[in-house]
Amino acid sequence: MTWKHFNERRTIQTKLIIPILVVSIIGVAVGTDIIEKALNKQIFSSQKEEIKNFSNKLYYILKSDYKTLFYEFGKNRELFKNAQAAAQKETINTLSEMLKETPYNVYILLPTHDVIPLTAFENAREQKDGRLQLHARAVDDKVMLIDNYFVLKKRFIPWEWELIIVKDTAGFHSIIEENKNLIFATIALLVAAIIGILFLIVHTNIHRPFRRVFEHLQTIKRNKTVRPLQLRSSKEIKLLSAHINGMSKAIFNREKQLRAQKQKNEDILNSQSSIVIVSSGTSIIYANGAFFEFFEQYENLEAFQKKHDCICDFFESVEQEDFIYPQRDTNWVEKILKGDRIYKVLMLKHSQGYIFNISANTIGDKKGEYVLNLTDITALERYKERLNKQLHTDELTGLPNRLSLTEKMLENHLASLIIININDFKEVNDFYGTATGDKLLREYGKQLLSQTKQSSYDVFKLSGDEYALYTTEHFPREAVITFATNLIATMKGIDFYDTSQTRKINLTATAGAAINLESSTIVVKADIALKTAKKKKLSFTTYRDSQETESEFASNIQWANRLKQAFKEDRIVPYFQPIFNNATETVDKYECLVRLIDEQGNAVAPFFFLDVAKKSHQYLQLTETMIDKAFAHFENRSCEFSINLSESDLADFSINTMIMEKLQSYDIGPKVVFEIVETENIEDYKMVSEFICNVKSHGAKIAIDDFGAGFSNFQHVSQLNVDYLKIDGSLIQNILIDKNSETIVEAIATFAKRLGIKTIAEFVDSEEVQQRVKEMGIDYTQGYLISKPKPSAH
Amino acid sequence: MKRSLFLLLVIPLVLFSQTLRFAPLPMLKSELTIRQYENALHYLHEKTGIEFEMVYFANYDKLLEGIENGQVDIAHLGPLPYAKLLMRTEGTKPIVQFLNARGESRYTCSYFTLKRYQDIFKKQSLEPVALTQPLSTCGFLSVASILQKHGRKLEKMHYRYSGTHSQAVLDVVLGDAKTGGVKTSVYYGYEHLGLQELGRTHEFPGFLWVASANVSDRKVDSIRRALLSLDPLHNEQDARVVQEWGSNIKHGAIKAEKKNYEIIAKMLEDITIPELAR
Repeated sequence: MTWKHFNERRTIQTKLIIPILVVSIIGVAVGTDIIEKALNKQIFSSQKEEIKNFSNKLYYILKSDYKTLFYEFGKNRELFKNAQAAAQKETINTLSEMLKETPYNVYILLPTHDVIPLTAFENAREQKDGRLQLHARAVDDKVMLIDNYFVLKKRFIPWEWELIIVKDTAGFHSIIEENKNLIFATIALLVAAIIGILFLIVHTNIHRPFRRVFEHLQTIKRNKTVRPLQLRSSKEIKLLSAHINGMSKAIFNREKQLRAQKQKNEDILNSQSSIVIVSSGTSIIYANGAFFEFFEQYENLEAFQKKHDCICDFFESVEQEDFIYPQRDTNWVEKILKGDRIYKVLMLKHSQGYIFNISANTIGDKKGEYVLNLTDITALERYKERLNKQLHTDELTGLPNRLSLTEKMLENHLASLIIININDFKEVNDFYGTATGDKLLREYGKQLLSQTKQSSYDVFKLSGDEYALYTTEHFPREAVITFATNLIATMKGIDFYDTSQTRKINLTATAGAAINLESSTIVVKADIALKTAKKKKLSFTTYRDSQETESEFASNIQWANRLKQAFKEDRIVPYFQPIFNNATETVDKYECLVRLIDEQGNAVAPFFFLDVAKKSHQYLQLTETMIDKAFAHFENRSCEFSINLSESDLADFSINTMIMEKLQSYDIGPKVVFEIVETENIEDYKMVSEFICNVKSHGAKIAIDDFGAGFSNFQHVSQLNVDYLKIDGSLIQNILIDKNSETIVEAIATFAKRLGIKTIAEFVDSEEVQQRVKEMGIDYTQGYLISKPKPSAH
Repeated sequence: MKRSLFLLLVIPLVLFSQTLRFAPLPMLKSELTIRQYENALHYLHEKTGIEFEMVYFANYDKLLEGIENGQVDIAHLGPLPYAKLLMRTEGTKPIVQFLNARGESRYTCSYFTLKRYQDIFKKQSLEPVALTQPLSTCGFLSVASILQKHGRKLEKMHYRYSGTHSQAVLDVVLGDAKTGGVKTSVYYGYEHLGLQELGRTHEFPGFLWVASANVSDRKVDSIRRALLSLDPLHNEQDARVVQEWGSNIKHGAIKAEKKNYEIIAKMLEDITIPELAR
């Protein structure tokens, strides 16, 4: 047994024994010594006091004798001297007489070092020598202990005597010695009594109470109810027992709270729809109600643990990154604990798959223990699947849609794509109704599927009336062309019916293909091929044939952007071409022609951008700009000015409104001429007629532009109440070389004259033509002969 | 007429025979002291017709009070007490200043110790100091002025009043005091007992008789004349007249001047005697 063990097994009392014994022994020794010294001191002290008092008495006698001498003879030197000797003698006698029975040895040491004993000494000679040694070591006026003698030396100054008083201490030591044993015994008994009392106190106030405390704590430890501890042996023990009682009450309350909390936690966990399990790291130590609802075959945890250590036994393998299955993910718990993403697991119940989000958390600082939480997201996953399907499927036909095609194309580098567009489907839809239209689209899709069943082409439904056939197999170009051509022909031969199944509808299609090209551009290129086919009125073409169209498209985009920028920078401006009055031979009107001033400051004719403006929806803005600037330019000019308007301009509410506002605000209606272009294509004469009527109410005039080109309608001219006919430039240019042109122009001139309508010849670029124009009686001339269009009307 | 004559004779006599209360030095009241003064007063009565009555005071303080409040007509005072009286009251009239055995009217005070204490100012303590009385010129005043010259302050030292010059000497001789202050003449008287003088003051005027303001100038003159008419140091007859007088009044006298005592009053301005300041 080591000292440590031995020490631990000792009680407080046994531990106290040795120190108490040691302290007692020391105490007795020290106590005895102290008492002995105290006694010595007291005895010596009283003796010293006695000696001092005795010496004072002797000294008083000396002083008195001297005083008497002083007063009687002090002033007379001789008398004093004689009297002094006698007085000294007398004093010695007095003292000797007084000291006869005294226990002291007293003597006087004279200035001559002679000694006058005042008391008897046993051995005069030895005593004398001894006395000399004693008083040699004595100090004036101080009782000293020298060689077991009390010695006091007192100086009497007037006579220069040293009064030496000596007392033997031998007697005292024997007294002290005698008492010493008694003292020792007394102290020893006292110490023993103290030790005994101390032990009793320790036992009563420490040992016994502590034993009760230990018993009390043991009972608490055994979880048994216990009565409050009542210890009152001392204030501290009482306080200790009060604290222990308080603590045990708190422990019980805490336990009660913990039990209630545990139950509450269990209730909360059981109320969760998620499966919650607590694992020790090696086995499940807790599972909530939801767990047993899922694993209904196991009644309780013990039943589960008999067959399985881990819930992961039920995880199905899924080859997706976000799914966990232990065969692949051996440290799956650590993986989940990392928390860098949300993981899922798939478990089967009644052969049906259930998907769970799985999360894990460690428990406090307990190593290895963790909580798993599995939330059923099966319904959500199914919903997502449906949604995904919807996103990738054309609802009408059930075919994969453009998104599916796009995603598929992302997977591959080279592919071939055929886009098939049903011709004039809008008209079919409009004519037969949307129900039939939908039916046709569905059936067309089905037929395409059927026709391509044996091929490696996948069928997709693009927007509207377009379908796509996609393959990643590398076919020779000709094979694809053949396939597409045959397919279109086959589809053309299929009979489609309306919803009543009574009317047969013939559907043709146009297709464009991009063959063995990069998937990233294949759709655009196939689309270009389709547009080219449509433009060229072909049933099918491939991308290679329509590169021109691509550049055209690129050019269109470029012009659209330039036009947009020109508007921003106010570089859309009217140029003015003068119209020469053949009668007055003056210029009294101008035509406003739109120009785009390019970045270099060059004026660009509308030929380059007018079509693009229409296609890029900037045409109306062109018209508005022209109207605005033309009115502003001619506000304070006297001549007329004409603005070109198409039917679409007239039909546009904002253009209409703008024209009326300008006519009203500027109040220069009589100077304004509206040139209506493309009258052959006018469909809504009522609208045009209303417009003409409105503007004429402001004094404005109407001209028909390019009259004579195409199929001009003379009747319309009279109905529309026009003021000018502008004879088409292509006719004027040919009047000298083409008889027909000449005849037509003459006819127009005559017709107009008869109706009172003025005529204007366009594109007159030579004197000869001008001469002929004048001969024909045409009222005005316009063309490069007169002037090119310029930025300002002079 | 007779009555008037009688009155004329009697009244002056009555007036002249008014009793003056005389206070000797406030020392030990001994038969010897009484006899010594009575002899002198008898002489004066014969010479001036004035009746004298002796009154005794234990100390100078009470004596001075007595003079102030009219209980004393004539007092035998030391120079310091008279200087104090001059500071306290007006109207007092100095009568005569007595000579010592050598015919000197002035005296000095000595500060002394035992011969056995060598280099006492450098090596040893001077305390305790034995002084005579607070109002004794050779007491606090003289010792303080001597110690001042050695850079010491008596008021900061342990001193005691022995009561008389002799007692002060005895205290030092017995060793109850280390040093003391007494009249030089007293010092010399006891020098043979093993004393050594440590310092001496300048001369003070001697003891004198002083009349209170109540005493008429005529009486003062009369008394003065009577005392000054004696020259015992040079005249045998005068010596016989005074032989039973006290030793401090039997050697003749001179006229006392107030101005001689005003010097002491000035000293008192520089040196405050604590017991008198209380």
